[in-house]
Amino acid sequence: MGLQMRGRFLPDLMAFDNDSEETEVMLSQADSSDGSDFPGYSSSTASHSRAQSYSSGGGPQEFSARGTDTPPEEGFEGLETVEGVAHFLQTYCSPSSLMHAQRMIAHFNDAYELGTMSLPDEFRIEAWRGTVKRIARTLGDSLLETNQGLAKLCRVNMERTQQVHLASETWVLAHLHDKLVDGLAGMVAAREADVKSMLAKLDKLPTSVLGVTEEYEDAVLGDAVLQFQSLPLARSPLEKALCLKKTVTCMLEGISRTKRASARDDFVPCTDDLLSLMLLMLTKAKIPRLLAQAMYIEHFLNLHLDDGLTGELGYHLTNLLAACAYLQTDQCKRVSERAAPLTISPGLQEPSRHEAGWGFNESPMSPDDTPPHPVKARRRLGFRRKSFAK
Amino acid sequence: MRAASPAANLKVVLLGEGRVGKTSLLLRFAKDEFSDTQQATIQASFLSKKVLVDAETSVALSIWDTAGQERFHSLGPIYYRDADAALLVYDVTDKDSFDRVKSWVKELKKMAGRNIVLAIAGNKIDLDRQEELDLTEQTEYAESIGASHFTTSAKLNKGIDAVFQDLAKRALVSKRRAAAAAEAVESTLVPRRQGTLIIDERPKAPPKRSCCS
Repeated sequence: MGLQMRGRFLPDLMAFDNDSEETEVMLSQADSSDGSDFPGYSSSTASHSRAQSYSSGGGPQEFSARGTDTPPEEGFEGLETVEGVAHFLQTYCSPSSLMHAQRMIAHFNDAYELGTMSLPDEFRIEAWRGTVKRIARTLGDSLLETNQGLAKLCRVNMERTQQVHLASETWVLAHLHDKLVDGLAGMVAAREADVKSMLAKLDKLPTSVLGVTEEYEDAVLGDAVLQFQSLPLARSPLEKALCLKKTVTCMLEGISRTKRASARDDFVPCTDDLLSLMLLMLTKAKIPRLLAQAMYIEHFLNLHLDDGLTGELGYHLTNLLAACAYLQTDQCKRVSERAAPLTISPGLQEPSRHEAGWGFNESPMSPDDTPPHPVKARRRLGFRRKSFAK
Repeated sequence: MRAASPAANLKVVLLGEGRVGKTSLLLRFAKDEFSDTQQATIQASFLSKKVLVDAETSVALSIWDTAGQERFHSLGPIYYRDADAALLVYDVTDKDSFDRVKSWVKELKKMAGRNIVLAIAGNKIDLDRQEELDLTEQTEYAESIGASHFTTSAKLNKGIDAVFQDLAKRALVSKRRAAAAAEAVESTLVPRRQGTLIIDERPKAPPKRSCCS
């Protein structure tokens, strides 16, 4: 993994001298081993520019942190990308603080045990989250301790404090990405294979099976798929979540274009159809390790916040998690085997409720399809978060 | 001068059968927009808005629209986990949509947290003549489950602010109560730990008594 340092490496982080004189640090670019072949990632995103820098033979970017600049009062820009955050840290973080964080990251990547398979997954993930949180928190706190101008600004504006902690998290997680995603992929390997096979099956069927007419198929087959295929290139959870948001935006723009070009004005897909469109997009995008990618965002986005998934990015992530969960239901299996249109959304191919599996007065939940409890359901589906008290 | 930051961020989920007007309610509330032809309602799947609950307190509502398709019903828990409030919407002209609300309530009571606040909105009152509307059953049902009941029209912009105002107020109270309860539990645990006095000293041996003193 692409983190290199000049100077000695002390495996014992606690023994590391934070005031080391070896302050010149080299931040090499991380390998894009899990998806650099995917086209279309926005040029504004970090990973794409990283890939470009490699392809042009630019090699790793080298910088020395200064940590002396006074921050602007109007806030910081560019913190949504790893490059932007690296620039931010280079400008405001003291070299020794950055060096200390880099050693903790290197130690995590080299020596941190992700836990034995005998431990429940939720315990393991919670432990990883705790460790990552501590590393990011240490960097953020140290940044505020060593840069008085920054600390003063943050004291009067809580949003700036949150930006500092988010930047620390983004930077730390970008460097832990490979190890964490590998760990998550190991946990859900069997389910991942099932989802992959289901997506391959659905891809061979008419899109109407997923409740999407040909008319609106184009809305997700163009830019949205290309955008989503760049998900594995992004390394921080924030970058991935933003990629997901851009994907949905592409879908919406595609729908608007289709609507303008269409002679029909009686129906436009609405929220009821968002999941159907997302499922179609997933069948076309063929993202490697889809579940692991989704879990990585779910468990590591906005670690510094208690309610980090209630915002817009959380909403888009939840749609992705719901689509992944649907792919693992017996209902989806039946749909793929029957290969008949199955939607109740008016304007699209609308089957009867009985055809959809439920009568008007029947409980809409069948034992096969409905998880008995959210936590158990999520465990079955491979998604776990905050399942026990912090 | 900077506006005071909200007292809390509350997550509200909209639940209900497809085409009962969930998205229209959301659009009307957050953007004061309404479209008869449902143009681009997909863009209003997530909206946030600050709501004043009293003269000094505001809360930020993050409102999540959900898919009403029955095929996705089993995915409900993924959407309403961690939700502070749920608004269950039905169409006053469609009795079946109210039956669906009942099934949602059953599910929420079973699976969502105890602290989730519920409100029921009978939408599309503009489609029915007010004097012919008999919603006694719906109102009584809402009372029986501890939820508020409102009648709304996204088209005429009626009753919508009241629904979200009510949800915001009750959800804030519920959230604060839950936080206080959690704090109380924590405080009862800590003193118990602090109250344990460990004496790491050997007790002094009682003075020897001499039998010949």
